[in-house]
Amino acid sequence: MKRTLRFQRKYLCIPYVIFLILFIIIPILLIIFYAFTNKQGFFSFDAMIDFFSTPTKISILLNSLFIAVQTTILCLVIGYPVAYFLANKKYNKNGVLITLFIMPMWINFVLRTGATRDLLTWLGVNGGNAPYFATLVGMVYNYLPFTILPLYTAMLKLDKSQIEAASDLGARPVQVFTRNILPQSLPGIISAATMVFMPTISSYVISDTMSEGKITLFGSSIYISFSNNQWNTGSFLALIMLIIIFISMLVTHKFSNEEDTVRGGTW
Amino acid sequence: MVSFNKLISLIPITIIAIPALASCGGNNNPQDGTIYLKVLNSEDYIYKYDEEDAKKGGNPNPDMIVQFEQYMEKKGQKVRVIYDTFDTMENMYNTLKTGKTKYDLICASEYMIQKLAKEVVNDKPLIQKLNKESIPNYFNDNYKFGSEDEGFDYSYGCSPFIRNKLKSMPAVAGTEAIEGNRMDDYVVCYMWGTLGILYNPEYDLLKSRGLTPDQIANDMTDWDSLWDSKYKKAIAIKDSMRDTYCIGLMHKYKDLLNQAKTIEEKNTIFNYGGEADPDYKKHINEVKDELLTLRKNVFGFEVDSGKQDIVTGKIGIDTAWSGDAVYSMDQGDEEKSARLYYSIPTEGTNLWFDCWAMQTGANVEVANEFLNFISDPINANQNMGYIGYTSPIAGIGTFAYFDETYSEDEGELYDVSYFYNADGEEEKHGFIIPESEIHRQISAQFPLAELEKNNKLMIMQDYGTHNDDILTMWEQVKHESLPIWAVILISVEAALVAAGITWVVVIKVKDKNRRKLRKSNSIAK
Repeated sequence: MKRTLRFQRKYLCIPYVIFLILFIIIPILLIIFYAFTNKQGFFSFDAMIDFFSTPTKISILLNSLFIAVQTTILCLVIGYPVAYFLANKKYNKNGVLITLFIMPMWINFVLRTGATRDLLTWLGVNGGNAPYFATLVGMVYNYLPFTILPLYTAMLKLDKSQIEAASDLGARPVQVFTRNILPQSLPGIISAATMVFMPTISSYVISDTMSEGKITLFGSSIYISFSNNQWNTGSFLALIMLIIIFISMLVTHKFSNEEDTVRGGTW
Repeated sequence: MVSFNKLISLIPITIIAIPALASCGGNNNPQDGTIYLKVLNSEDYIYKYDEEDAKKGGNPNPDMIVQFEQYMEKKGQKVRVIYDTFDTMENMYNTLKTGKTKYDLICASEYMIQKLAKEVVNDKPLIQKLNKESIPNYFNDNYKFGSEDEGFDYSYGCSPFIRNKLKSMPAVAGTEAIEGNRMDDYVVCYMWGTLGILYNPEYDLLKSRGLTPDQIANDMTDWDSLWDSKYKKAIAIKDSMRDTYCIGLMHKYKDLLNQAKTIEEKNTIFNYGGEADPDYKKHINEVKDELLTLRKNVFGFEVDSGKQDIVTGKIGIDTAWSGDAVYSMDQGDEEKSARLYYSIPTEGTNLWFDCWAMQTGANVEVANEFLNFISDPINANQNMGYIGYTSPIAGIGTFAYFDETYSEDEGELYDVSYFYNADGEEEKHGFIIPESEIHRQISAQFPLAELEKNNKLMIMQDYGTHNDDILTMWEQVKHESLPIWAVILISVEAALVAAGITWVVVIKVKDKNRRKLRKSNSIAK
């Protein structure tokens, strides 16, 4: 039997596979290659040694982590109650309010950041005198919609009867929250946290604008290396960022799995 | 969700991958006799037709590129210009170095040309020397100022002032500028300018500190004022390694610079930390300490936002390139929001040149035609009118343009003889400028004559192999350590997390015990 080229459904994936190889796999291999070679193209650990022996670079990394973690926490603290009330039909009739909260996402973030910068200058607390504070404000403002949306979806799925049952069976409001609502919305929290943490750790446009250029984050450190012809250093930094994002994904993944089993055990 | 996150995390990688993958082999393909000229320039750096402006009586001519194509058509050659732009010079350098993209002409700053001149791609130097005879509109060794009616037919070409500066600069950084190794052999200068201080003497914040406009104007003639606590948080400095480094250098070695007499001695000091400096580590460190103090005094770092921020009043003082300064001053006048001034401090400043260089393998004939075309005073004037920077083309053609733009009926003679006169010419040339306008647009377009007379206009060369050291220094200058509240916040959060974990554990243990109890109870029943 001749098996000529017959159309199979899996062929539909070919465009994406090409995209995957061209823009994801090859670049990662290139990064690894450049990270462990020197300017002459030979294998070397120069970039790694350079990174770990430069206090500024490590400090920049820690500062980026600080910004990313704080942004995530702040977004969750602000977004969680908002999402809870938005999911309640009593407050959010026809979903008008949630649209209002999501609306900033429709505008380009560079424009939004520029406006935030002007606003803070008008308030007198700006990148000039409080660069870290201004950066945090800019980051939280930009990523808050990304937190509210997954939390909102999680809240919509809350099992109302279970909450009622809990209070009927004598749980105090605090207990209802900590032992019922919180575990139920945990998947939403985790996806919200990843939605914020990962982009913030690599972003630099917001911090550059908001801090008036005073804070260098890891993303801009990578950019500066590449634009100054330090391909090896830059690649190594990019590799570190990849590893951090990978670790954070592992942690959240494991965390959500673990919580699932715990929850199963509770009932 | 996860795949979306993955994509976000991969954005930097794809960005990195683009220059590696982008390669165009567009060479001349003369099938129908059309010759393609590939030109690479900064964004917004050549005259373009603006319909609104033309309606208001502005320049009615089409784009400069189109004008060139029409000009060549008249000469009987069909030329199409492929005009590309780049965002930063460093990125441009990285792409050219790979040898995958080829251009005929590249416009870049003088230090970048020095970098390019060192590069060898496929065993050939990246850029080639120019044939001066083929570009008579620029290379005119018999230059003399005057109009044709007076019998002068030499009044065209690049100003001897610019030519001499470029002759004194080596094509390879850190070497001697001897015959065959001069910038002048490689480039046609396109625009030139200075780095100075743009300031608003009526700035509210400074007024509230009791500073008078006169006092501010006086202080701005000194780079040291940027370090002065009187101006704290009113200043923006350049988020550009080279520019801010040279300000730090002029502040640190002020006395040395003032003692030095000749321009050669000054240029040596001005290039501390560079390729030819044996003591570079010490000098870079000393400048670093100065810049670390400076950063505490400034409002922020900027490259592009400053020219608008000073007009809107976000800052009162900005270190600015001359062309940006002209733009801001024009804006301030137009919006009537701020009357801005430009000053070059008495220690001196960095003189920079944006130049055209020809890549090896270029279509020399057409490229020369292009260089000759844009060096024509008529075209230089159109470009200047659009960009706001100053062209190096001297002669009556550009003089008339400036005279028309700036001269008033009454005022003082603003001396620009250093630019318009050939060597040894005695007669003074200048524009009539009212006293109140002297330190404004005109001083950005042409530095005051005494600066040149006293050898204050210096040239900072490429740092060569010391670039990485200066970059490390710059990274430290740009680095801000965490404030105290951040440290406290981290500790509080860590404590909360610890408390949360203990609480969860306690509850779990309690639950377990309760369940055990229930189980044993039920068994007992």
